Amino acid sequence: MNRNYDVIVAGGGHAGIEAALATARLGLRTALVTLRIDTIGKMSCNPAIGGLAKGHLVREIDALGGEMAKLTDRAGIHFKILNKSKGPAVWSPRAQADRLQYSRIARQVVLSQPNLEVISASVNGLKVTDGKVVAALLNRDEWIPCRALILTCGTFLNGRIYIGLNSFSSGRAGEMPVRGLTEALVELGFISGRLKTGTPPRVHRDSLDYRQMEEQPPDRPPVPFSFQTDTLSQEQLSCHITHTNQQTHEFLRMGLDRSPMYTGLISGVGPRYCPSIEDKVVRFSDKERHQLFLEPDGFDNPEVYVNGFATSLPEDIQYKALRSVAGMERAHIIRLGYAVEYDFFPSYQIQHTLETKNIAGLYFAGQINGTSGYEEAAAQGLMAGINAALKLQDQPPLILDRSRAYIGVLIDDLISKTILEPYRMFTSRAEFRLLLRHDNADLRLMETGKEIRLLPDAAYRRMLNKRQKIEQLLEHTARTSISPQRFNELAKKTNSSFITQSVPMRQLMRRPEISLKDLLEAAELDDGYSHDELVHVEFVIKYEGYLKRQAELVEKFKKMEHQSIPAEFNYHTVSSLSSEAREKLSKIRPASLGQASRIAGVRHGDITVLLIYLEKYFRSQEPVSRETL
Amino acid sequence: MFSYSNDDTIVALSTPPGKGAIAIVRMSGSRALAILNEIFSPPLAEDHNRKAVTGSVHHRDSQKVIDECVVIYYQSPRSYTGEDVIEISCHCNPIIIDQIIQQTVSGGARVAQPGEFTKRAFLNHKMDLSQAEAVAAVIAAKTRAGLACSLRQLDGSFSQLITEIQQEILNLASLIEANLDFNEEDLQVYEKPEILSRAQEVVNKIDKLLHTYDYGRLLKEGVKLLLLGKPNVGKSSLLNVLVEKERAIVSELPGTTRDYIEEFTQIEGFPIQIVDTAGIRETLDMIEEMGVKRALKHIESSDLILAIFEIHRPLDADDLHLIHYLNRYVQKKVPFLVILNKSDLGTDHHTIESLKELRSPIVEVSARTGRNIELLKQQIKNSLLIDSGLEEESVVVTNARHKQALDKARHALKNFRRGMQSGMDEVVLASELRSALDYLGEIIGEVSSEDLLNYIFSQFCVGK
Repeated sequence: MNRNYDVIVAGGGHAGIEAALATARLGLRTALVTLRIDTIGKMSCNPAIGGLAKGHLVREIDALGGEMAKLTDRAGIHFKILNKSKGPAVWSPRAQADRLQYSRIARQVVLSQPNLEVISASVNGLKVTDGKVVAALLNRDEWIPCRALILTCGTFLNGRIYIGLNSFSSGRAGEMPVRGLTEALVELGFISGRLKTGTPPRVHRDSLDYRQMEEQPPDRPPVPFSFQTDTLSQEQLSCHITHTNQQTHEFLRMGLDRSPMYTGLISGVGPRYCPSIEDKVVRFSDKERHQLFLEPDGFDNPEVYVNGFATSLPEDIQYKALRSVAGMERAHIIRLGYAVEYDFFPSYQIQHTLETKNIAGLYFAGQINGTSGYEEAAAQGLMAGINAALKLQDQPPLILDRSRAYIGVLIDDLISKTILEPYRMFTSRAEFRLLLRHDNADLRLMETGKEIRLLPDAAYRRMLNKRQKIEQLLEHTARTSISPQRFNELAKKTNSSFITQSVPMRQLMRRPEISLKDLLEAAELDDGYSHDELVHVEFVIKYEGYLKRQAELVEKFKKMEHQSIPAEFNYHTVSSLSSEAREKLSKIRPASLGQASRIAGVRHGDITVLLIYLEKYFRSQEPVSRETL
Repeated sequence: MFSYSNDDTIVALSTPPGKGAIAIVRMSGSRALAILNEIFSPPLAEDHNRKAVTGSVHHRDSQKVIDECVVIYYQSPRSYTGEDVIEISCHCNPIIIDQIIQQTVSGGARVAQPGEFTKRAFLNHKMDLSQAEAVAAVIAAKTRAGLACSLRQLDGSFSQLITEIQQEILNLASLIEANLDFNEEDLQVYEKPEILSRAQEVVNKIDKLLHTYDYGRLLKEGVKLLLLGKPNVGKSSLLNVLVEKERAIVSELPGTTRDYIEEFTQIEGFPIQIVDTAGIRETLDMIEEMGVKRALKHIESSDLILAIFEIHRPLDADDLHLIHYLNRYVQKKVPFLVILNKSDLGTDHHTIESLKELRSPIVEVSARTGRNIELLKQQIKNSLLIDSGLEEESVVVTNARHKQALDKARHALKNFRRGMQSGMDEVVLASELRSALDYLGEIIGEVSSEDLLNYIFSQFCVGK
């Protein structure tokens, strides 16, 4: 067979889909290589997209022209904005998706994408010539030439599943792992590591007694994920909440001697933010109960995902413990919980474009970089795809900095931090949280999405329209005054103080108790502004001082980011760096002083030292003294 | 090859110039040992590390002996600068010192710039920024108390205190952040009043530190001590015993001290500038002449006043003048001590009783015999300490950069409290705490978002 591609994407998960769609849409002949076509877009863990900070990522993916938000809108069965009681900056959309439908739609999108071919196989090796990827080895017998190779292998690299003291090779429950690729990469000089993650048992919905649980209904009406979706029409389902109890904990403790974690069978490090239930019971032994969140798998599939009960304890313990929980006394487990251990490649080996430092044309995205989560994976897949395409088309790379997007925070963290556990996004990782809201992802990124030609024109025009309306409304509030007659009625309702003469609306907006929507209504100026537009304008006015301060911090941050460090800079000549800093800096090779300052182990003093040296270095780079180098 | 000038070996006299028994010439750098061995016998080897070796320093070429010296070699990195350090203790004679330095320079060393040893120590991570600044202060410290306070900064007590404050803010921040990032869980939400009072405690701690800045300033810049009393009450004698030398003209005739006399001395470790005014009569005249305003300015610029009376006689019109003056212009503005001089001449109980009404500490002394002078010195120190709300062992802020950082951190914490009380968005509250952490980070070192997450994971059972 004579096959020839610009880009090969290895893996059809959430990273792979975004990567392959992006390169294909940007005009490159792309092959998506996946073990089984029917598992494209499979949700291996819980059937939910988004959540705190992750929802921000999905909105950003959407603003750049990625697919995840649209898929979620089409397959979603339960939409909810989380953190509604807190400030708008941390509101985060989450949706439960119908697992089978999500995968079906994803497959359909991928298979119908021009320029994109799907190959059912595994990538087991790669050929590198002159430091550049030239071909991928499929099924250990066929070399397929390519100009870029994007690896999005998830947990499949030498994956091993653990249930109790039993273990077997597997990439995901019931699926084969990928062998040989890790070894091929190690041979090329990459360093690999081992991580672990876990998943809870899935139970049959008909075996549960929901009456003993607390119902968590979705938002009504549901708010869509994608800036391009107008309304959602699917039927919506509820989730349910129940709790473990002392009896449950007792059962779990009885199984610890057969735990692959506690007996040391698993060496990989698991995520602390997503601990197994046995871990919670051991580490927080004084807690009387732990919350379990039951997520429906969809309409057709009767599985229910017991979120909060990740475990790798043996079957008998899983049964006993689960059945001691209120409403689960007769629970029938369809699939046992398990832990999976897999290879990853510590992410200091990649650059901000997600291209590896050692081999040109080779990109890593998703769990292979030590992250966890569909959203984190998709964001990387998208950025790897975009950057692979830009490079092959001789365009400058797309690097989003930490002040522009959670995606920027994510990738910069991956490159600068030592990953010791699967990395997950949190809002607290973002320094400029007030600026990076989910509702303004379009305003922040669509310009870029259009520039790289990935975002549909219609979406861009929508954003322009929104921006225009926002500006209009801002001007409106600044210019228009409201009379006492109109305002004081609202003041009475909201316990606000009365006014005696007309006051500009913007001034009244500064009162915490006065909302923009109410004010517009009182002034009879409600001109059909969308929810997002109102939220934005209200935020900009009420948080004016804080936004200004944050903008100043961004300026300061950018200064440090622009202090670039030459790639060939030799840290070993800088004797006054601490040895830890010298080692870390040599390993990570930060692109800027700003990035250097975020590396663990690099201290304030080290940065001062670097500043002095860089100044000397650049001076010594001047033509006069070139020969002395 | 690109390289920093740390490859230089630097040399300098590290004890103060001037008279003394021993002087120490210090060299630091990779060639320090080699340079020494060209001018010192017996030659030192690596196993002489941290041992005192007696020998002679001689000229490189003529081998002529310059001085018998004790040399200590501190091998890198266990040295003050982190580099190889040689300390040559020679006899303190400017000619000897100069010759030794000359010889090391012709061997390849370079005369160090001021503070360069400390700069190297800082660059080699032998100390953090606050410690490096403390070194400068130790060297500059003129007095015992000032020195002790700089030493406390150098040994890290100050850094430790800041770290503790940082840790407490980190605890608060983790509560807020946990609530923002993990509210999907059934986390026990923090109690607002508890957070508020914990934040207040941190503010109080910072306040206490900030308050020491004034005291720190006293230690650095000196205390102005003003002597007030009628002519011939013994101000000049008191000045003399406090300064321990004959300076002011002492005479039996009232009004001998015509001008202000200023003297510098050290009392209980405080650098003190004693100002002996002319007698109170003149002072009052002066007030009349110059106007109360200017005279008051003079009073208010002092840190402590000694109001001097005679214990063996009833109060006279001049004394009453002074008492009126103290009540009217000094009380509650500047602390003062009531000094009853001439206790060797007897005691008038009425005088003591009347002076008690001034409600200031009373010390009976005799400047002539020196009776109770030590007690007076103690009392002076106590007044200065009480006024600054300090104990002797307190960590003191002496550096303007630190004060500024603490001020800003305090401001952020205040904003945090106010914001929380008015129900402000937690994202904003969290950013105030971040700012506070950042400002304190400018003093010692930063707290990262990773530290914050680590703390959250260790405190809360998060994650579904």
